[in-house]
Parts: sequence; structure tokens; C-alpha cells
Amino acid sequence: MTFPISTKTIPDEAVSRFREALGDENFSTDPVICDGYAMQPFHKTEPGCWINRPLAVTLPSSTEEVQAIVKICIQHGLRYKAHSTGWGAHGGAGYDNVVQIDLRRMNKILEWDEKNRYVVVEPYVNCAEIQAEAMKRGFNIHIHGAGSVCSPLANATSHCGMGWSGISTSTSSRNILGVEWVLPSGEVLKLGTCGSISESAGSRWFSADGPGPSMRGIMRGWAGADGGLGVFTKMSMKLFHWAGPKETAVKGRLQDLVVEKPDNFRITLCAFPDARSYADALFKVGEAEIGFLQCKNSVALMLGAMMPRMLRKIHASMNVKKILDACRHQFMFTIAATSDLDYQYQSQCLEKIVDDHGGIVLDAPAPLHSLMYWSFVRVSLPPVVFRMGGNFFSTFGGDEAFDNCMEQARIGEEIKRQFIASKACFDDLADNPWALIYENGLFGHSEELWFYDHRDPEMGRQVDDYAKACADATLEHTLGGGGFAFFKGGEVHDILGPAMSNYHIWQRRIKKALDPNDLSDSKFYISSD
Amino acid sequence: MKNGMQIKTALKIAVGPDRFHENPDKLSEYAHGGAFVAGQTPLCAVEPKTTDQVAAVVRAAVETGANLIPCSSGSPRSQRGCRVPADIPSVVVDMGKMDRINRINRRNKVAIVEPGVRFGTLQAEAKKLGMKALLPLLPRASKSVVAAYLEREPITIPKYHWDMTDPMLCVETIFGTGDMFRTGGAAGPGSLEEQWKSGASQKNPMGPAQTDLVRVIQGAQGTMGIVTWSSVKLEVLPAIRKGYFVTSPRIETLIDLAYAMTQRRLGDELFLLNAQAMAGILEKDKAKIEGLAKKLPPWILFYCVAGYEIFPELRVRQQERDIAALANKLDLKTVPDLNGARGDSLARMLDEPSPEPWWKDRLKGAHAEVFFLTTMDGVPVFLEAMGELADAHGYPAEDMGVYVQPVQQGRNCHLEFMLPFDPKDADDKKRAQDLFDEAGKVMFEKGAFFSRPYGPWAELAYSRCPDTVAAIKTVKDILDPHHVFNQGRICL
Repeated sequence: MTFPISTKTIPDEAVSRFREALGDENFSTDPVICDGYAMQPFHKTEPGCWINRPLAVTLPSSTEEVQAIVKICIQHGLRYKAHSTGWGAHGGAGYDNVVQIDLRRMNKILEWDEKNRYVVVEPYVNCAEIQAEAMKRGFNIHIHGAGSVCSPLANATSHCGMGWSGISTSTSSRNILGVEWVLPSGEVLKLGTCGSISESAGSRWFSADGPGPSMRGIMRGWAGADGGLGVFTKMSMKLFHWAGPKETAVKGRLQDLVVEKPDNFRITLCAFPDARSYADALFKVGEAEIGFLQCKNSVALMLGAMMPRMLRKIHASMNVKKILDACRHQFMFTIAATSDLDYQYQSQCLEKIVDDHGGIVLDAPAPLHSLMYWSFVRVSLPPVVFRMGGNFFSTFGGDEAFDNCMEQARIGEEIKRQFIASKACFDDLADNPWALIYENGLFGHSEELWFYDHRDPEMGRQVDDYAKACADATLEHTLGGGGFAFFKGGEVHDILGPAMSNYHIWQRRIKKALDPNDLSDSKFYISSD
Repeated sequence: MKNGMQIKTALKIAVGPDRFHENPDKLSEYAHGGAFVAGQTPLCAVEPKTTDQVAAVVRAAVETGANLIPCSSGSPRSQRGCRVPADIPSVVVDMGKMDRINRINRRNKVAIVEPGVRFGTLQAEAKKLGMKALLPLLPRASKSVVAAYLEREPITIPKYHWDMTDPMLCVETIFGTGDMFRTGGAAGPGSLEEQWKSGASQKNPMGPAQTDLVRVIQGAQGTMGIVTWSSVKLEVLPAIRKGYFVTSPRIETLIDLAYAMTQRRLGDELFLLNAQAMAGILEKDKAKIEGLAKKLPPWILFYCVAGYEIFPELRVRQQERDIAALANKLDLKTVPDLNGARGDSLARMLDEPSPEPWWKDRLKGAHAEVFFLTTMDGVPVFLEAMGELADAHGYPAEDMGVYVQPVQQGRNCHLEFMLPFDPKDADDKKRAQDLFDEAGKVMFEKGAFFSRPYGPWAELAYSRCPDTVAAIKTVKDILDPHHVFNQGRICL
């Protein structure tokens, strides 16, 4: 295994200035420390687990210190990359001359506004912490797919934001109510009310758009810039009504959880005879405006997460595979009712919709329902996705009307079958889309999961081939606007852009205008030339 | 910059002689300046019919240095955002003739509308397919759907207002380079027809990729591009709908109820009005408005409950009971009638544009309006300040209409003060103008957020955020490098 050790060095003067700005204990060029940021096997198409080792690691504790770091980098021509909780290569150094800005010391919940339903957080606060405090106040939050151990600020400002409860809590980027943003120039831009209304006003973080044109549209799009447009230091995010108890007694961990499921919650699996009835039912679910959580976790995903050894053995038995294949058109559905009548309405609607479409509603049996209830409310299970092969990759995922998501799943499965045959990934029955609807069905999401072992050179090598095949299919079949293909960065934009309103030209102009020297690490965004 | 004749010649070529206007009578339609500003007549006007013609107009403006002022709504125009400047040769790009509904789709509850489509037209087409359009509170019949959404006019159903761009989804726009650009899911890959074939429906408002330029175009008062169509959210037409009133002498109590309802996404239409505003909606005649306003309680919360396709009765019963329980905790009562006015009738009124005269003008013939975003718990502070200001200016506070519209699912609200005046009475007009002028400043000092900084509010709104001004200017130079769009608006 080779380490991509940097050939660049950091100038002595820059080192002095970093130490002066941050203190000796908050700056390091020690290779041991720096390598801690370079092992990032997830979300990369290159084989192996290593990305570039940063030249140095900085640990700012305030917005002012972040500004100081950015300005030192500008002065010395150094690239920089913000990192908060991290979850993959997109949080690390994309090049060999990058100063890592580790935001772990900016870890405070700054403000609760319960009336107006928002909370202001710093970059290193994770969803689990916020949610625990929110529930005590009668609120919940949107937790994105990476799970509760991750930073909602990093996700909402800089990456994608699909999550299990999207039907009732939308997606991260549409949950933003204010942002403090250190631009690539080192100056601070505050979006919306937090930057422009009187200090004496009681609430100041309640809207992120305006005055006039909204610079949220420059900050990010469907996807974030993944560190390519500066550093985000504060964010106001939405709180949602929580119909569950303020405190929950929990015994055990992860897959051994024992929790009392509240009576106003219903945990179900809804299964359908075919793809059409499954999709049609989801449209009706959206129209009925029911549901707290809805998501297709495929059979392969559930087995891979819970019983990976079993999934590996299944492919030897065609009969078992066929049985499991018969269960493929299903989604998990959770009701969280605010009253008895609400429970009745939601339950009856669900049963009727499923029945009208030839499906069945399976209530989660005890004691499994308590595990499902709490694991999905807390979004604590994503790390177990790595159990199957040690790593996974994801393709498609471009959000659009749900019928288009169904096409993404269908074509994704076809492509993956070929790669399963060549043992590029583990056999997950090919049907492994993670799919859901947002905002009562406004639009949908479907990403095709791919279980593999990055330590296997042959598997690692084929990730890129698979990603390319999916990107090509996206163009050929007009599938949901690019999706995760963007995260290859660089030349991918020049392939997708001409087919997508030439967005790459405008995005590149934005990058160039805000970061003319291309110092804010644009590996997962777009270069300025 | 070329001279007026050269500009006219270039534009006439761009759209053809039939769509080019320099007749003074026609141009005078665009000369309104708003309530208190003298109007200016544009050099000429063009009425493009296609996206290609709009692009040609923009390219002609780049070539000649003309200032393009896009307008979509019909006459009478409020001119909040597209006032004709006195010192620049300006051309009105009247988008009213692009008035097609390009697609309306029941499965995905979406329509693609051109800027000339008005709410009445969209609503009628949506209803045929069992859907409803999302309207601002009783807009003028001439109001363009696209213009209203671009201006962030609040809709009356907070639960459907997830984010500030709603109910606008994707747009097609012509930037100041003459390039066409589509946002969100509409960007591609593929043509619209190819996207429909693959099940896409221009429903994703985000993107494409890592930009979200619809957010930059919205709220820009036509300074960033000209929108040639937009996909917009539609919702299911309720099978059953009922309207209810809740009244109180204190707005604070009604605000508490609005918080409780919006937190749980209870209710469909939901807003608060003072007696004067409600009377202006329910009656048409001045004397009747004044009479009703005196009889009504000072503050009224109006809401609808609705049942859709599946178990509509059960849903209505659930909503009625759950809202009544919340109201009961606040010692409030929900009632279906208000001084003889039926809640169900008001609910039906909300589905259509306002009959003429426009409800805001019924009391005195004209009005000025002061509006901004705040939080609902901040509303009483502004009410008190506005009352004091009215007294100081000798403006009759009882004439003032107040409208509180929860937005972003109740996380903040649009607060609007309507200041009726008699346009033929110079003293009355001056009182209203003085109050209007000072109110902006006072409200701003108290924390008003002018998300839509029209006219004099722009200077106020941008005074505290030079960082935002710098960013907007940077973006303007990218999207409109020759500055052909609406010069002098917002901070540009």
C-alpha cells in the first residue's frame, strides 16, 4: 500500500504565523498527526484508503482564527481544507499542498430559539448532541444519511443532505436559516437575517435569504462545495416538532438496543408486488401528507448491515435469492402521531393506500420494533453499512420526481449486475437502492449502494469504472441531474456541464471570482480554470 | 452606449416590429412610479413571445447599452421593483405575452408557466385536474404567478412553505450575456421532453450541481436575469375544506396559537389580520368596510382545515379537534362565522385573485404598504411602534390594515402594514407618505428584515451588511457582466 506523501513543504514564516495565531498546541506538521487525516477510504474512486497527507493541521477555536488561517494561506499560496466530523475523502486534502483546518474546537450549541424553531450551532456539534437537547425541548432535527455522529453544519453547508426522515424534515440544505461563512478572501459573509438585522432584535437567525438576491445560491446547490468555497463557522438550522417523549430510557447499544416504543409511533414495512405499485403508493402517501419517516432500505442493505456473513453466503442459493428478490419492492414507514385521531388518520391512510396497491403492511414485531424505532429516530445505524465489505460507494442519487428515481434504481441495478459478475463488488442481489421522498413527495431520492472492500486491489480498481458507467448512464437516460457523479470533481463537470445548461461555466466563474488563486481545496468542487 | 434610435432599431430587429412599442399611450402604461414616486416613461417597450426573442433582446441591449426592465404583471402595476429610472435610456421588457402553461402534471403536482400566466388562469387549469395553485393573499387579477414567486410574495398556506424559494421550483432564465440557463432539475441532462420521458418533472428546486442560481434570481428585482418560465408546485385540491375564525383583543394570544399550529403543521391556509384588513376583504364599499371594522374584534386568526383524497372526513375531524384543543389551552374558541361572514366562504375567496377594486385599495382608493420579515413573537413590538408613528403623523391608526402571514412553516412571518389614502386628497396622501417614509427607518431599527428591499428600503437593508453587498456585486458581474438589467435597483 503506498502513501501519497507530500512533496511540498510549508514555509517557515507560515509556520511561525500559524503558531502565533493559534498557539503551539493548535498547530502541527507532525507526520503522525497529519496522517490521521489522510486515511479516508470512503467516497473516493481511486483504489486504496489513503488520500493526500496535509502539510499541516490547524485547530482554530473561533471565526477570527479561521479567518487568520485563511489569510496566512493566501499570503503563502497554500491550499486549505475545512474538516469537522468528517466521513470520507471529501473532508480531506485533495492536493499535496493543503493545510487542514480541523474545526473540532468549535463545538458549541450557541443558541436555542424554541418559539421560532431554530438552533444555532458551530461546525463540530454533531446531530446526536443537538437532537438529544432538542428532544428535551419537544423538538427533533433532520439527520442526514451519514448519521447522528456527523456535523449537520458540514452537511448542510457543504455536502448533500438526504436522510431517512426526509418525508417530514426535508433535506439538509433546505433546513438552513442562517450561515456565517469565511469566504476564500478571508472576509466574513453572514447570510440573511443574522448579518443584517439589528443586534437589539430578539431573534436574529431566522431566515437565510436576502436582503434581495440570496447568496445561499452561491454557497451551495443540490450539492455543497465540499470545502471548495471557504469555511463555514456558524449555522442556524430548523427544529421540527417531536411527537415522542422528552426523555427515552435506552438499554444496550446499536443492534442490541432495548427501548420503549411510544404508543403514538407505528413502525411498519410496506411491501408491494411490483415496482409500479410501490411507486404509485408512494405518490399517494405524499398526497395524504402522512408519515414521519419513509425509506427503502433494501433487503441487501439490511442483511449487509445486520448479518453480513449471511448475505455473503446467500448467492450460493438461488432459491433464497429468489425469495429475497420477491421482497424487493418495499419501504419502511414510521408514523409519529400528535393525537389519537392523527394516529387513526395516518394509520388508516397507510393501510388503505398499501391495500389499494396490492401490498401488505407489516408492523415491526416486538422486540424488533424498539430497535427500529430508536435506531431510525437517532439515525445510529449508518456506520454498520461498512460491515459488509469494509467500505461502500454510492452512485446516482440525483434528486427528482420519484418516477425518475425509480429509473435510477432500475438502471443502477442493471449496471451493477455486470460488475457483480466480474466480482468488482459483493453480491448484494443487485437491488440495493436507498430511496425516499422528501417534503410529502415534492421530489425523491435514490442512490445505488455498492458494497466493496477497498483493501482488495481489484475491487478498488473497479470503483472508478463503476462510477464512470453510472455517470454515462445518467447522461444517456437523463437521470436526475448528475447526482453523486459530481463528487469526482474536475473533469466530470466538463462532461456533465454541457448536458446540463452549461452549469460548469457558471460554477467555474463563481469559483474564480471568489477564489481566484484556487486555494480553497476544490478537489470535490470545481477548479477556477 | 448608443443613442436612442440605435437602441430602438436593435430591439425592433430582436423581436420584430409587431412586438416593439414606442407609442406614447402604450408606454405610459409603464410609467407608474409606485405610490409616492413620479413615473418615468421608458424609451420603448418590447413584448417577446419566445425565449429566443428574450435572448435576442438581451444581446441587443449588450450591444447598445440599453437598460432592460423586465415586467410580467399586467396593468395596474405597483412598480415596486421595476421603476423606470429618469437618467438611463430604459426599455421595458414586458413578458405578459409569454402567457402559456407549457405543462401541467397531476402525478407530480407541478406546472410549467410562463411569466404572463396569472393566478386565475393557473388556478382554473389546476382545478380541472384536481389540484390547486398556491396563491398570495388575494392578489390582483393581473398579477403574474412567476413575478409573485420571484418577488417572494408569501403564500397563505404555511405548511407548504418549506423554504424561501417555495412554491417556485426550477426556472429558465436569460442571463446578461444572452445565455439561456435552467436551474434545478430542469437543467438536465436532456431536454424537457426527454426528462419527462424518464420520469423527471422539474421538481427538484436545487442545483444544478453545486450552485443554486434560482436563489440569486429570486428577490433580485430583475437585476440578475429575465425568467422565461418556471415550474411551480401545485397541491391536491381538497375534497372537503372548512374555514374557521379565532378572535382576540390581544394579538399575542393568537400568535401563540399560530405557533402551536404551525409547529404541528395543522391547518392549511393560516394567517392573522386586524379588523380593518379583514373588513377590507369581506366588504367592497367604503362605508361598509368602516362599519364592519368597528364591529369586528381587533385581531382575527383565520385558518382552513382540509381533507384530501383519502379519508377526507377523518382528516378534517382530526384537524378540527386538534386545533380546538390547542385553542382551548389558550382560552380561545374556533368559530365558523364572524359577524355573519362564513369561514367557508372566505376559504373559497382565497382560491382566486381579488375582485376589483383590489381589497387593499377599497377603503380610500389607494394605499402604501410597509412589509418585511420578522418572527411572530416580534410582531407586537412593531405594532406598538407603528401605532406611535401613526399618532405622531396624525394618520388615523384605525385605517391601517395589518396582515401577519407565517412563512417557512411558522419559523418567521411576513408582517405587512397597509396605509390607505385618498390619492385625490393631497393632505391625506402626504400624511400617508410621511408615515411610510419614516416607518421604514423605524421598523428597520427595531429589527425588521427587508428581505424584499424595494425603493428606499434597499439603502436601509444593505447598510448593515456590506459583506452581502460586496457578494451581490460580485455575482452581478458574473451573471450580468454588462449590467443590462434594471440598473439602480437593490444595491446595484
